[in-house]
Amino acid sequence: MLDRRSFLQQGASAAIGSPLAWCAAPRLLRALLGERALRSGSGSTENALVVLRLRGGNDGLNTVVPFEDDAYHRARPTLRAAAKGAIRIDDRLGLNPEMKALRPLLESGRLALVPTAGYPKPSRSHFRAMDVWESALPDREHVSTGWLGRALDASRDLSGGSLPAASLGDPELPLSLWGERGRAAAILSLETYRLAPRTGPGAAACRSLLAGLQGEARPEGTDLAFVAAAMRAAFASAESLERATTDAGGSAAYPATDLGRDLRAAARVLRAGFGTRLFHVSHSGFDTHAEQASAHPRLLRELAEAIAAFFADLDAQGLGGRVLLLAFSEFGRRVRENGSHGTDHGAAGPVFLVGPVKGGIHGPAPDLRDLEEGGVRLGVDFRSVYATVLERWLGWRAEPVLGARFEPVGVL
Amino acid sequence: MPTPEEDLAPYEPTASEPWTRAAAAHLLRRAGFGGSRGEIETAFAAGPRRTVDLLVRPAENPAYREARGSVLPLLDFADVSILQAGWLLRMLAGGDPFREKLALFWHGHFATSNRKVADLRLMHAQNLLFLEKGTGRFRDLALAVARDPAMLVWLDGDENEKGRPNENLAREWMELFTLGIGNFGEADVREAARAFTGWHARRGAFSFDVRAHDAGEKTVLGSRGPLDGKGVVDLCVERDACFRLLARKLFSFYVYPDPSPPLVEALAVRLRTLDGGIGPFVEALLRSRALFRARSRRALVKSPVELAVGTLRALELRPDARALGALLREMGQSLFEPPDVKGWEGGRAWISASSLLARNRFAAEVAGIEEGPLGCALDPDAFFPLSVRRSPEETVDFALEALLQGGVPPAVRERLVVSTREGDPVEARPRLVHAVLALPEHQMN
Repeated sequence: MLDRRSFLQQGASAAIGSPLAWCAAPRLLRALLGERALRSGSGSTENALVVLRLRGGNDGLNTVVPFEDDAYHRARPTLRAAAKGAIRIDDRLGLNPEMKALRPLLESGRLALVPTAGYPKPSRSHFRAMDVWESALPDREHVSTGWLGRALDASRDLSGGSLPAASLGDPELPLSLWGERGRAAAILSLETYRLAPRTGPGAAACRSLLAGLQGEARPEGTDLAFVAAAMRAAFASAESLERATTDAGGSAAYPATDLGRDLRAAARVLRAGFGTRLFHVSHSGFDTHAEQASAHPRLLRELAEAIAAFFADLDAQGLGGRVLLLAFSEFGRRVRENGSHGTDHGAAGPVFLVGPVKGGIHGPAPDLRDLEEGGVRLGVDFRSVYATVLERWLGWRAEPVLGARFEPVGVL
Repeated sequence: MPTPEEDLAPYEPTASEPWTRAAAAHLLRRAGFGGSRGEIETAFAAGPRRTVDLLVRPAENPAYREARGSVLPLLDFADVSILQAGWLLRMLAGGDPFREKLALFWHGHFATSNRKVADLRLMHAQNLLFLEKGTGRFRDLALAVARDPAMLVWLDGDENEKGRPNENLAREWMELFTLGIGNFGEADVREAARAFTGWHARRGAFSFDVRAHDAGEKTVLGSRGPLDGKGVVDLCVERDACFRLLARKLFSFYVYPDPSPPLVEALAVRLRTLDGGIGPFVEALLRSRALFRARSRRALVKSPVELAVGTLRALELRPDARALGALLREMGQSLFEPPDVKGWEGGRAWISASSLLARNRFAAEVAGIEEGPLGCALDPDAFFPLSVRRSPEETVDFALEALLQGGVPPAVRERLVVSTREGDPVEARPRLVHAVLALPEHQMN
């Protein structure tokens, strides 16, 4: 068990660039990760990954719809409208018609789906299940690092300067990005991740005064010295982010949603050329226990429109070939709709992969005649998807990060 | 190294640890949320003993009383920001900083989040529970918390029924709230969960559901019997491990982090001698020599609440309290929404790039060099007396004394003087205030 306090302290000290932090990492984690360099696989250090978290448990069956399955129609007397006009992916499965913004990506083979991603003995608690997906350690009761955080900790060839990984739109860093070395920044918005004062007659004088004051020596090893160094690093990263993003215009049209805002911010940081490799964004509201038809179609439309706008923007910047987006949710929902025209917590669900992928369906389709306590049964362990992304996209060894070997999926 | 007895002896001003304005300001920051210049002056004149007397037994304060009642009518209509604003207004008003600070401590200890509870009335009731019982005996507080509806929703007490026990509350009860890891076993958790079965929240109140309660024999921490929830609470709060955990955590919150094991032992004995009385124990810490030693000064990283409320009280500014709650969230402390049941980690964990940038934006707004959401800023003409404006040195020394009570490296003061000498004084003075508020020293309590 890792102690969260020591994690945070060491993480924070690493954030200010202490080369000793790795040596000081708790023995247990080093044992887990191994000491070897993690370069391997066919991935490229130029590639960036955007993880999109669908919070609340997305109803996979109304997202990737088994439109011709009688069992689906029987189980969803009021919610089966999604089958009508579904955007065909293959003979059995189609995207919810509200996701039509994704049609061009689907037709050009840039959209892949793993419709039954999950893990053995799935939890139905939002918190626990999200922890499992974010830590990728389903057998541990308490987790304090995430799969991307551990990958970041282990990488020796990280580009990205002061910003190797960024979460956008959430005030707290998501567990996925938690690592021992604290290399990921939680950026609520680019608007707030900035150094004050921004403008005004005396802004330059203020900023240079601040930098000078932080640079003065404080008693070594004290919390005060730690704070001074952390301030220096934070202010410097904000200033360079500001310089790099102010001139990067970007005229692409994004939907006026939180997700649109956060993906636009990710595109701006990508364009700025820091070399930031990992991004994290969220889309919330999927816990549709009641009157699902009034909320779920809108959520899917927002999701599709934001993703489509993001890739259109990237394509216009010539970056479309360097970015992979992975969208997941903590669980799917029960096959049978409940008495409130909603659906309850289920099991496996779809993972989306958008970018330079082998498009289409990967892994088994949901079998609605063989359920996991009313939910969709696991077809592909989500850690296989992670392993594929780590090795074939990011170029990092997956096994030390995931703690075991997982067969890659043919999606990349 | 002073012995634990010397550390816990009452503070008497000496030549090496004199009673100064800096000491008075330090006491006010630790006991509550700091003071205005006037309040620091009053405390300095009253001396340490009388100042603690007044903190523990405060005089009636109408503004504070009004702030306490202000959120009640709004709870049915608003979101969590109204609760945050209500509490921040109480802290800003002063009136009972000693109890309010302890309530903040308990909010971090019995950390409950509205993100799951999703009921402002329950969260508000829990907040008042911390305020009213937070200075009493720990066993009374603990029992009230175990029966608190917000807590029962938060840790799934509602789901805990005979035959299918939910261990969430029982586990955190032992691991985080009373004993600490290593002082109980998995079997204790399982058995304690059975004891808590049937402790439910119904329509906003505690309800004992007899049919859902497992009345069978249980063995918890070596005691056997048909234990119920109260039985588990009583067993836990009497253990040495519980006294140690609380004594250590309170000392680390009020005095300095990570006290030595012998000191923790002495503190635990003191807490037991006081029959678990939290108010008297904290009062003893505030009167202790340990609090006034050099190693305790600026030894704690200010929490966002301490930083923001303290600064606004020092400058006597009244912000838009809901906007302040939102800014605190950006600084990493969203009241009524702790990150998880462990509460805020505190110390260096308060420090991240985003949180430091938010602290700096706060400093820039209250210093009046950038507009912001709080809608309040210092008037430098009112703040700096004419008499100190003549020389840059006097201007800087005044700001450092008023905002920090000194204690910065000479080179820092020198840079401030050079900056204040340059250019237009109308720009230089707000720039000076911003710079002092953004100093690393000002992030320390």
